[in-house]
Amino acid sequence: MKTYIVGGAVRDRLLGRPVTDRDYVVVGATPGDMLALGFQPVGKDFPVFLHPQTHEEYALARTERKSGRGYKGFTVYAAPDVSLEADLLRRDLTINAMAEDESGALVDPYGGQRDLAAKTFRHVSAAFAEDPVRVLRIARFAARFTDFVVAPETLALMRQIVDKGEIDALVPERVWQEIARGLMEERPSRMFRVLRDCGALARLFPEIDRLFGIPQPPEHHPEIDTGEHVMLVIDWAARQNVSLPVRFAALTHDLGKGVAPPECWPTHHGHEARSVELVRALSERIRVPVECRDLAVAVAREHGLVHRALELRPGTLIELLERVDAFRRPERFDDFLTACECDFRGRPGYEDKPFPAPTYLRQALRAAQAIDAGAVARRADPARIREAIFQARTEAVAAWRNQGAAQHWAHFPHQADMGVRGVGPTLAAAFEQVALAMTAVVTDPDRVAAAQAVEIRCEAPDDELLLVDWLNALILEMAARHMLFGRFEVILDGQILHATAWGEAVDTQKHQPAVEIKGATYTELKVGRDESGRWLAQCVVDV
Amino acid sequence: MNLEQFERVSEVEWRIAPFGKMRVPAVIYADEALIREMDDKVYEQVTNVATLPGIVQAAYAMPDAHWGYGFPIGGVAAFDADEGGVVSAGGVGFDISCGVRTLHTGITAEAIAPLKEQLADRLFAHVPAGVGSTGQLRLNASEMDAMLRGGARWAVEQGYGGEADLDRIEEHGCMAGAEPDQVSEHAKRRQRDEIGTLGSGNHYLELQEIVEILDSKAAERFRLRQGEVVVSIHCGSRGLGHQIGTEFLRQMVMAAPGYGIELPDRELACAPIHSPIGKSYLGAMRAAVNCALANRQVITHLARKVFAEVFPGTHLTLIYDVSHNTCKEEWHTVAGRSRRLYVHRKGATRAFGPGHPSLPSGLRDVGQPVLIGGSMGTASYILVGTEVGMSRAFGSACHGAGRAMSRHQATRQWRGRALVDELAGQGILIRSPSLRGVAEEAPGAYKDVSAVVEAADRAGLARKVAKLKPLVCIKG
Repeated sequence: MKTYIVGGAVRDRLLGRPVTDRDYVVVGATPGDMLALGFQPVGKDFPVFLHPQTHEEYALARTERKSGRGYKGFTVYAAPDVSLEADLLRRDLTINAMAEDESGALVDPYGGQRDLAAKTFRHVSAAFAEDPVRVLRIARFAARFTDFVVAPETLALMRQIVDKGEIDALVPERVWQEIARGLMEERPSRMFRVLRDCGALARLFPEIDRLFGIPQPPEHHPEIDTGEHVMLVIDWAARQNVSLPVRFAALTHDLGKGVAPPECWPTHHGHEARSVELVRALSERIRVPVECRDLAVAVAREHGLVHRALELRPGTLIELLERVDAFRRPERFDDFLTACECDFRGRPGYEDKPFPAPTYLRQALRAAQAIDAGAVARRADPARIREAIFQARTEAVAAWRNQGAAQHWAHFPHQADMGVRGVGPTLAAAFEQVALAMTAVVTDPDRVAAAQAVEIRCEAPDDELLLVDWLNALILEMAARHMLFGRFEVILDGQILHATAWGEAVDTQKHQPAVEIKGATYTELKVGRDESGRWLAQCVVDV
Repeated sequence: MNLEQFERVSEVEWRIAPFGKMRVPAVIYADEALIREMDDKVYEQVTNVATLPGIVQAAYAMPDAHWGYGFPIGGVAAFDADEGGVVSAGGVGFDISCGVRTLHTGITAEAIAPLKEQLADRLFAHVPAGVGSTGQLRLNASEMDAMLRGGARWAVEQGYGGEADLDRIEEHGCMAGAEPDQVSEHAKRRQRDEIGTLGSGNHYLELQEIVEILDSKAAERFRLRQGEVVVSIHCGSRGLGHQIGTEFLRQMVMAAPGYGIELPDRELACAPIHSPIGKSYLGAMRAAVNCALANRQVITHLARKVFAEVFPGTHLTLIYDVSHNTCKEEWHTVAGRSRRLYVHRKGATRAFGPGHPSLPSGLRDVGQPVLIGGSMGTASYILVGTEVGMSRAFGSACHGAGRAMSRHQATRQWRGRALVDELAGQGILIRSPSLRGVAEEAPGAYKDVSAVVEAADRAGLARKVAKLKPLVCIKG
C-alpha cells in the first residue's frame, strides 16, 4: 500500500503558490484496509476516506468510464490493482495529473512539469471529453492562472464537447458553482474569454456572448465594444477584492445593451430596464442565490442614474435611495455603490479619474436619515405618512445640497510633504473636511468603508493647536490600529473636541495606500473664517 | 534664491552676516546652480535658526537643503548647554534617526543578474513595506523598554546579526542616555508591531551596483569593488519616532514663552537643554535613535536570510550605518577651545574625519563612511568624512537629493505603472505595494543627487569614494 499527494497541491507547490488542501491517493489497498487503519469512509460514489487525525481526504486509486450524459453518469472501478498512472490518466489536465510520494519524489507520467513551464493547460487523455464540467473548470483555471493558455488540441476538444450538446446537459447548480468560483479568481475575464473561444459562452450565457460586438459611444467608452467593457468591469472588481454579489452585479449590469435594437446604438437609451429582465431570467435559469440576484437587479436598473447622481433633483435622489433600500440596508447600499464604481472604472483611462457619485449619495443618505421620521409621522395625516416622510427627506437633501456647496476639502503643495485644507459652514465641518483631505493623502476616502467607529477626544488652548491635535490623534489611531478613516463627525464644545471617525483596516490591494503620514505640523497652520463667513482649517502634514 | 542676499565666501560657501535677532551668521554650502534653485524658505529658516539661544559658531545648511519645519531639511546647528543652549524637537524632525546603512555582499552584478527577479520578489515578500504593514515581532512592555535602551545591541542579543555589526554603527549601535520612561504610551503603542518594517515615502531597501570608484584607498578600506553589489537600507524609527516628535513639538510650543524664548515660527519650538522638558526630550529622542538602529538591524537580518537562500554561503557585512535626524552630544573645537555641544542634524549626515576617537579601529585612519541615498532610478554615493570638514559644519555633510517637486505635481506628471515599466527597461526592478506611492517618489521629482554630492565634495564636507547604481528597489 502506497500513499501519494496528488493534483492541485502538487501543482501549486511546483508553482510556488500557497497550498491549502492536500488530496491523497492510496494505491494497493481495499476499503477494508482503510477501515482497519481507522479511516472514516465518506464517499458515496467513490471510495474516499478521511484520515483519523488530519481529516484530509484519501481516495483509493480508481478508473472511471463514462456510462451516461452529463457529469454523473460514470462507472467507477476501484481496486488494489489500479495503478497510480491509471488513476492519474482519468484527470483533466496534465498539470493536475502529477503525484508526490511519501519521500517527496515527483511522479509525472503525462508531462505536467513541461506544461507548467510552458504555462499550458493540456488535457491528459481523450477521456477529458467524458465530463463536460471540465469545460467550465478549464475556463475557471484560466481566470486563476492568468498567464496560462489553453493548448490548441484541448480547445478543439472543448469545442467538440460543446458542439455535441454535452454542455447543455449540465445541471444549473453546477454551472453557477463554477461561474461563482471563477468570478472570485484573480482575472475573471479570462474565464469568459475561454468559454467564448470554445463556443460554450453562447450556449450557457447567450446574453453575455451577445454583448461582444455591440458598440457604445467612444466619448464615454474608449473601449467601444460592450463585451470588452464588461470584461474590464469584472477584472476591476476582482482587483478591488470585492464580494461575489458585487462581481455578479458587475458582470450583468449591461446585459440590456445586447438586445437593444440597432437604432438605439450606440447610446442604448433605456437599456437598464432590459438589463433587469435579462438578469432576472438568467438568475432563474442557473439558480443564482437571492443575495446576488437582488444586488444585480438593483445595479442593472439604477447604474445610469448613479452616474448622473450629481445632476439629480432632491426628490429623484430620495426615490433612488428608497428603491435600493438604502435607508434599511446600508451595507448593501455600499455594495451597490461599489458595483457602480466598478462600472465607472472599467473603462480605459477611468481607473483613477475622480468619481464623486458614491460619496455624494452617501452624504445625501446621511442628510435624509437625519430627519426625525417618528415626529414627521405623528404630525402627518395617517393616510399620507409615506408622502410626508418622503417630503421631509427631500427637504433635508435640498438643504444639505445648498449647504454642501460651502463644504469641501483640498490639498495644497509643500515641497517635501503635503498641505491639507478643509472648508465648511462651521468650524466642526471644516475639521471634518480637513480630516478627509488627510485621508486623501494616503488613499481615496471614498474607497474606505465605514466598518468600525473610533472615538476621539482632544483639548487645546486655541483653535490652531486643536486642529493639529485633532489630526495627530487621527494619525495615532491610523498608525496604531493600521486603519484608514473615510467618514468623520466632529462636535466642538468650547476648546474640547469630540469626534467619531469611521473606517476600516488598511487593505493594500483595495486602498493602494500611497504614503504613511508621520505627523501634522504647524507649517502653514491656519484656522479662521474667510470674507464669506466660511470656516477654513489647514496645515502641512509630514509624510 | 537671489544670490545678492549672500556674501560669497568661496565657489561653494555662502554666508549671511547676522542681522535682526540673529546671534550667529548663517552659512549655506552649495554651488551656484543649487543655491539659485533652492527655495527662499531655506534662507528664512536658516536665519531663524541663527536666532535661537546658545547657538554656537553658525547655523548651517547643506547642499541638499530644502524647506522643512522650523529648521530647513539639510540643517545643522550646535548649542552649548552652559550658555543657555536649547534642544529642538523640530530641529531633529519627526522621523528621528532616519538613516541609511549599506552592506557588502561580495557578489558581482553579473552573478546577480539571472537571479535579480527572484531576489526582488523574495526581498519584497520578506521585508514588510508600505502603509499598514507590520513586522514579525510583537514587543511587550519590558521588551519595548529593552529595545529602546539597547538599540542595535538589543537586536543582536535577540539573534539579529552579530557583534561585528555594532562596530559599524554610530554610537556602537546603542545610543547612551536613552530613557524609555520618557517615551509616551502612545508612542509605544504605535511601535508595538512595527519593528522590522521599512515604512513608506522615500524609504527603501535597494540592491546597488558599484559603478565607479572615485577614491581607491578609501574604497579599499570600505571593501568597495567596482562591479560588486551592495545592499542599502533607508528607514527610521517608525511610528515611535513620529509620535515622540509630535508630542514634544507641542510641549515645546506651549513651554517656550515660559522660558523666555521668542519663536519666529512655532515649528522652531525648543527648550533649554538643562530644563525638565529638554532633558525629557533628549531621553525620549535617544530611545527613538535606538529604535531606528534596532529597526535597521532587524531588516538587515531579513535581507541576510533572503541572500542566504538565493546565494548559499554569502554573508552581508555591514559597511556602515548613518543617521540623518538626530541631536547628539559631541566635543568640537570652536575658536581653539574644545567644547561639549548638542549638535542638531536635521536631514544631514554625521561625517567625522580621520582620527576621530569615536570611529572603530578599522576606519579611524581613513574616516567615517558617509552614505548618500538617491531616489529609485538615480545614483547613490558613498563618501568619507574629512579633517577639514570637522571645522566646517561640526563634521556634517548632505544626506540625499532632496525633492524638487511636490508629491501632487509628481502624480500629475507620472503614472506608477508606466514608471515601473520604464525603470525595468533600464534594468531597475521596482517592487512596491502602492503604484501611487511610486509615482509620488518618481526619480524626476528629486534634485540631481550628483550635483549635491559634487558640491559637498568641493566644500570639503566629505570626499567622494564610490558611485552606486540601483538594480532592485523595494519601496515602502
